[in-house]
Formats: sequence, C-alpha cells, structure tokens
Amino acid sequence: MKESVADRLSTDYKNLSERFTKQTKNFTKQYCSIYTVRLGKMRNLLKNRIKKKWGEQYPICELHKLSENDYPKCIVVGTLFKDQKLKPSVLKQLAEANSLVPQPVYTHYTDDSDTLFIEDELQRFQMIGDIDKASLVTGISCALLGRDLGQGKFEVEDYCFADFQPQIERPLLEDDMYVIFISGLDLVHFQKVSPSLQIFCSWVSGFFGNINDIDVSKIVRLVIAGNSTKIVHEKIKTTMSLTSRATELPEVIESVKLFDSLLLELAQVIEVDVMPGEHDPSNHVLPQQVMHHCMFPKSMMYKSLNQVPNPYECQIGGVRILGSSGQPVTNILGFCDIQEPIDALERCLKWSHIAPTAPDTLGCYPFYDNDPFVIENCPHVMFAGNQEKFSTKLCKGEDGQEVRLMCIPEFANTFTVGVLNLKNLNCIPVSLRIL
Amino acid sequence: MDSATEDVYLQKIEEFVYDEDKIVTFKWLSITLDISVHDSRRLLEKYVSDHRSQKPQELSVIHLLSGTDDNNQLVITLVNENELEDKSDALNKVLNKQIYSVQKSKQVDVDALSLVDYFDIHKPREVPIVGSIRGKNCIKRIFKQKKALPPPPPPTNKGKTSFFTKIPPKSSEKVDTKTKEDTVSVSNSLVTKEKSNLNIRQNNTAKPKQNGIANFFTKGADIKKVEERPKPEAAEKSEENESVTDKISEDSKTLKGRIQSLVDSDSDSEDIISPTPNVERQKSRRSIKRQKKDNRKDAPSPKRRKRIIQNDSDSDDIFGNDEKMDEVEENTIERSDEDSEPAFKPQLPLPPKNKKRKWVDRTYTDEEGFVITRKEFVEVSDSESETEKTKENEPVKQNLSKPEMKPQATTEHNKLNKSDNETSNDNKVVNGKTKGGAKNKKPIASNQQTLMSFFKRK
Repeated sequence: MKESVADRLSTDYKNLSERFTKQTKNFTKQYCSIYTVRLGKMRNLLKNRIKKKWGEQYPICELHKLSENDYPKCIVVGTLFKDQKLKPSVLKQLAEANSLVPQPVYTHYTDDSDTLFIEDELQRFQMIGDIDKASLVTGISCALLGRDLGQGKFEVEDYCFADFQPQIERPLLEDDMYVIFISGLDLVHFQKVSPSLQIFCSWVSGFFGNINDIDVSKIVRLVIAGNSTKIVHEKIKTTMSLTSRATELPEVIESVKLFDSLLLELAQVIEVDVMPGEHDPSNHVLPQQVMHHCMFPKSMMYKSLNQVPNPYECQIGGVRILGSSGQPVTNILGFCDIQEPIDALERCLKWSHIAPTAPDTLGCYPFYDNDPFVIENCPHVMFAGNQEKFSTKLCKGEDGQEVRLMCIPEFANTFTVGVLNLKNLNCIPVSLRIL
Repeated sequence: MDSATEDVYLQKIEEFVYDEDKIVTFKWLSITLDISVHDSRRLLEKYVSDHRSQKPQELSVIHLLSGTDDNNQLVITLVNENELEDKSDALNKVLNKQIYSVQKSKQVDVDALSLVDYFDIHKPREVPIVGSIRGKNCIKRIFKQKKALPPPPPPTNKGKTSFFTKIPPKSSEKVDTKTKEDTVSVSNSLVTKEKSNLNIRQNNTAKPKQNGIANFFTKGADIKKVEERPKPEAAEKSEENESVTDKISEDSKTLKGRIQSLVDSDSDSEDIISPTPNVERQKSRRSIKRQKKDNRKDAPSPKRRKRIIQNDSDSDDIFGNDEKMDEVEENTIERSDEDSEPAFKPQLPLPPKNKKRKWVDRTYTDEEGFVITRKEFVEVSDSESETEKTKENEPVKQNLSKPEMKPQATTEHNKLNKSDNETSNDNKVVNGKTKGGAKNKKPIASNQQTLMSFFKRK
C-alpha cells in the first residue's frame, strides 16, 4: 500500500551569483587592477556616506594632490593597507628555507607594530591618529577626514566606511518558510557523522513530523555551505617515486561518492544548493566555481539539485541571501583582533565588501574590470559557513536596513544546523548530536 | 491498513528481530515492506507494546528524543530506552518521543544502527521513501538527446580506383610536363587526403589494382616488389629496378588520364607537397601499410617476410640513396609485426650509390615474440660505412628503426649502447679525438642511426 507523497511548500527562487561565475580565465593580469576597480566602485558608494556624515564643508582631495593643496582639513578616499610584520610572505618563506632557525607557525598575524596606510592609484600616506588599527584589515576602502602632516603622513581625525547599502524591502510573507543551512559535513570521516546525518535526512524528509513548531513541509530549501568532503587539509606525503604519487587521496574520492548518495536522498525531497568549500574539489581561489556535475551522476538527475559558487547570492521568496563558505571571515579573523566571526561578518557588511583581504592574504582571481565582492545591494541575510560554533545576530543599518547574520558551524564537530525563518528572519540552531 | 495485513507485517517484524537478529529501524522497515514510514513506525510501536506485555525483559528499543535544551537550542537525538528518562529530564522541554529502532540484542551500538540505513553508493534509491514530504521541483531532469552523429561514409569497395573516378577530369596539359616523380608525389598526397575513404584492408580482391597503384607511390625499385608479391619469388633490389621499369611505363599510361584530373584538381596542393616529400611518404606508407598487411596475409612468404624485416630495421637502407628509399618504404609497408610506427626522420635524398655488404648484428623480434640477434649481411653505402666508423662515438639514435622489438629488448639494447656511448664519449673528451681504431671493431647494429648519417643527408 503506497501513500501519496505529501507536498512541500515551494517559493520563487532566483540565483544572483552570476558575477561570481562569469569570469574569463585570464591569469596574466596583475592583482593591482582589482584594487583600482574596487576603489573606483567604493568611491561612488562612499560619496553618499561622506555627504551624510561631514556634509560638504570639507573638500575631497586626491592623495597625490594632498601635498600640492595645503588644506587645513580635507577628506581623502583610498584603500587601507595594513603593514604587518607577521604577515606571511613568500620572501620570508624563502629566507626561512635557508635559515637554520625554524620560524614559529602563526595563526594570528597581528602585532603592536602594525601600521596603517591609506593608498589610492598613485599615492600612499601613513595614517597617524586615533584609529583602531586592530579592527581593520588590508583592502577596506574608506574615507578619512584629517590633514597632511608632511613626509607622507596623514593625521586622521575621523573616518567612515561605505556602510550598509540600500536594501530592497523584504516582502511580507503570510506563512512560515524555512531555509536550512548546513556546512562542514566532512564525509571523509563518514563514520563520525553518519548517525547524525541519518537523523537529519529523516527529519528533512518529514519522517519525524513537526518538531518544535517547525513544520517540515514548510522547509523550502537546504543550503550546504561548503567543506562537504573534508574540513582540514591533509598533506599528501611527498614521495620520490613518480609512479606512486597520487594527486588525490582515495578517501576523498570515496567521500565524493558518498556525498552524491547523500545528495540523491536529499534532492528527492527538497531543493538543495551545494556550495564548494575551501577543501572541496573546486578551484582554490575565490570565487570558487561550482563543483562539476560529473562528480554527482546520481543526484544531478534531479532538478532540485543546484551547484552554486562560493560566495553565493540568491533570492528565495523575495528575501535576498548572501554568504560564503567561511574563507573570508576566517581570513579576517586571522589578521585583526576581532574575536567573533559574527562581528567579522558585521564588519564586512559595514565595509560593503564580502572579502576585503582578497587578494592580499586571501586567494582571489585577478579581476581587472570588476570587483564582484563589493556589496552593492544590502542583503537581508548574510551567512558564513564552517565556523567554530553557531551564532546569529540581527543588525540594523542607519537607513532602516535589517540584516540577519548567521555563522554556520561545522557539522562534523558540532552536529548543528541553522534553520532560518524567512517570514521573520528568526534563526535557530538544531542539534543532531547523539547523546 | 487492515488487521490481516497488520498481523502479517507484525509476524515479519518478529522474524526480522528474532530469527534474523536484525536491527529494525522504521525507515528500513518502510523500504523492506514497501509501506509508508508512518505505518512502519506505528507497526513498530504496536509490536513493542505487544511484545512487552508478554516478555517485558526482552527487546532493546532506541527512541528518537526531541526537545529544547537550556540554551533554547532544538535537540533531536537518539537515546537508548534505559537512558530515555534521564535524558528527557536533562532537556528543558521535551517535544517528541518516538520509537526509532528495535533489536533483540541488549547491546546498542550507534554505529551498527547507522549501518542499517546507510547511504548505499552502489544501489541508489530511485524513488523517495513512501511518506516523504517532497518538493515540486524534486523531479528528474529531462535530458535532451544529443544530435546523432552523421553516419560514417560507407566503405568503398572499389579500392583506390574509386577516388580516381570521384574527381572530374580537367585539362591534361599539365600532366605531360610532369615527371614520374611528381606524379608519385602528387598521388602520395592524394592518398593522404583520400585515406579516410579507403577501406583497403577489406579489399583483397583489388590487390592487383592496388599493386598497380602502389607503383605510383613508390619508386622504380619498389614497384617490382609490389608486383612480385603475389609471386613468392625473392629478387635482388637491383634486379627489381630493371624489371619494373617496363611495367611502370605501362601502368603510367593507363593511369595517366586519371592522374591528370588529380593533378589539376590538386594543383594548389602540389606546391605544398614538394617541400615535405618525406611527410607525405610517411603518410602514404602508413595508409598503404594497412593495405599491405592484408595482402601479405593472403600471400604468406616467410622468405620474403624475413627479407622485409631485415631491410626494415636496417637504418642504412632507410637512409640510403633515393632509389633505395622507396624500396625500403615498400618493405616497411609490408612488415606486419610492428604495432607502433617508427619515428621516421625526414627522408632526404642520398647521393652515394656505392654499396657495400656489411656484417652487422641485428636484433629483432620474430613472430613468436622471441628476441633474436643475428649477424647478417646488410647493404651499406660506402660513405655511410665510413661515417659510421669515424663517428661511432656519437650518440646513436636507437629507438627509431626498432619498432618490431619488444620494450625489454629495446631497453636492454639501449642500455648496452648507452653505456658504450658514455665510455666512448669519455674517451673522446680525454683524447681530443675519436678513438676510431679501437671502436671501429665494435660492431654497430645496423639498425641504429648515427648522428653523422643524419647530418650527411643535408
């Protein structure tokens, strides 16, 4: 006896990630072009901000003309550069290779001696003043109010960033509509996550019924935010032999097959967006391209499976969602004193840039005509996957923007997923750990 | 579900649990009995309640427990029956308790439990489990069938005559001015162009015609061999040269008209052909090679084959004079054992005509796969032999003309030669001049090409 399959709520969906996937494979360009493009874009975004904050009483001066025009106070627009002693440098690595003393391995690269510079296309000035350099990173475009001290130094009195961009009003939904976020499956160690994944699949399929007022039939989408195959980089042991040198661990290949089987089960019941992560079989530099469908022969048969890039932007039921698999946030945390990833995510929104440290310390494609990481339209939801723990925050902009920030934890370590309600932007964690 | 069916299913559960000692999860039961997951869960609950009333101490049950913890976090977990109460108390609010699995054994292993409903990579589930909540878009894609490739052109059984007839004849003025060599080169190019259309292998009946056509692809020395193929007679190369010329003239007249059209139609390509005659020869060699394979099969002549192989691996013959070139090509075409083609050097015309018979070590693989090294006479031109003697210390290109040799034989041979060359080079450096005297005595395998022989062609 077969019962009819119950229907899941469906809603309109739009993939807005074209700017991350549409790129020519030209790696011959210099990386400086991306900063030029970024500054050009941010300059336009900063103009409104400058006007709002300081009005028109101070002139906006270009950096290379600062010494010519002796303004008592002026506004300069440029990109921040943080000169960090401990920043990893390939030259230092080469020097270390020759030196006998092993250098300590750092995970946090901040130091008291770090200095900030403001740069534009032609000139750079060292920033002096009451500015919180510990909370800033290289690549942020900002406007500074101050004066030229001479000798390449600029005294900063005040500063401002592009801040929250205009946001399209979120539609009022009549009914609850849920989106589940999960990341860091680490299927290489499948035995560890298997029981919890079974429960997750059964729950999403509706076998447990409604739990805690979460109507499973109203879960419209599942977003897998990267690192599905593995969560740590395992170095392949180097061998002298050319024949036995393996390009990929066999466990990873098995994990991809498992992932395909898992996606098949999920795609049969719900729409799934699969993002590549730092350790997934996709390109290393941002933006990571979609994982090739040939790796998922069984699950790709279903229309409900969508391979999406990293970063990923979409519109579900009129709600704009933007996020990444966590690399930008993790990178920012390493180069400044921000402790919580949710704070770093908020700063990204204020800086109007998804990955400001790219390409300085975060691998990035050498864009030369467009910087796709600039946030031109403020999203309603911003997420970062593969974090240590689940955290969420609702932050508000000056113009009434409301953004739900979410940090999705690694499932392999926390067995936790995030459930977002599109109606009211509430977000709750769901733990599937075996007690 | 009616009671009769229910009883049947309960009986089956009893069998699974007690007879087969399985861990029965509601999901597994749903798939096995092909029923909805809600029904399977209900059946499990009924089974447990019935069984417990009779035998309270038996059976181990795993429960699914859901609730919110102190952090207001929703928790969904699996709990053993024994710990159910404790863990329910630990939660702030208990939302749901339901049976997840039933088993006979008292020891509950979560890993074994997860293996019951594992994601089988070898047997994917074609349809979702009955009772799933399914989205509208969770349907299979409709793949557009790729356009079927056009069918391959039918094999032409007419042989080489077919491509002569395809091209419409044009003015015949050009043909008269052309020499035989030009026609040969032109026809070589045509063979390469029309190669794909020829199904020469299948055509054994057109052998005489092919042989006739092959005459135009090869020079005088080879033509005779082609014609002698059906006749198992061994002939010297010099004799062949003399005897074939008559036939060449006859065949040329008959095919002149056809070649006319070819020449006219490919007038543009003629200029292209001449700078690279060797490339064309190689291509023609390859195309005819397949043809000759079949011909050779039909007319086996061990003696002939042996001679062919001998000539084949003889680098001196390959880099011999022009008259020999085509003869050698013919031999290379006729050989059958090689799977891979030798990497031919560009064949340059050789001026020397004097030939010497030289006693040379030759290593080759016979048809049974044995590597055989024999001392054989090989015809070598005077200048060639001299250069070999003087430039013996040059690195010898060993892999070119040994396609018939098996890899192990080649490597061994190479090793020997390499070691010899190394020592010889060292000597060269020390002395400043080649130790020709001592090294000349060492027999060089005649299938090896020396660098000097390569330079000599220029």
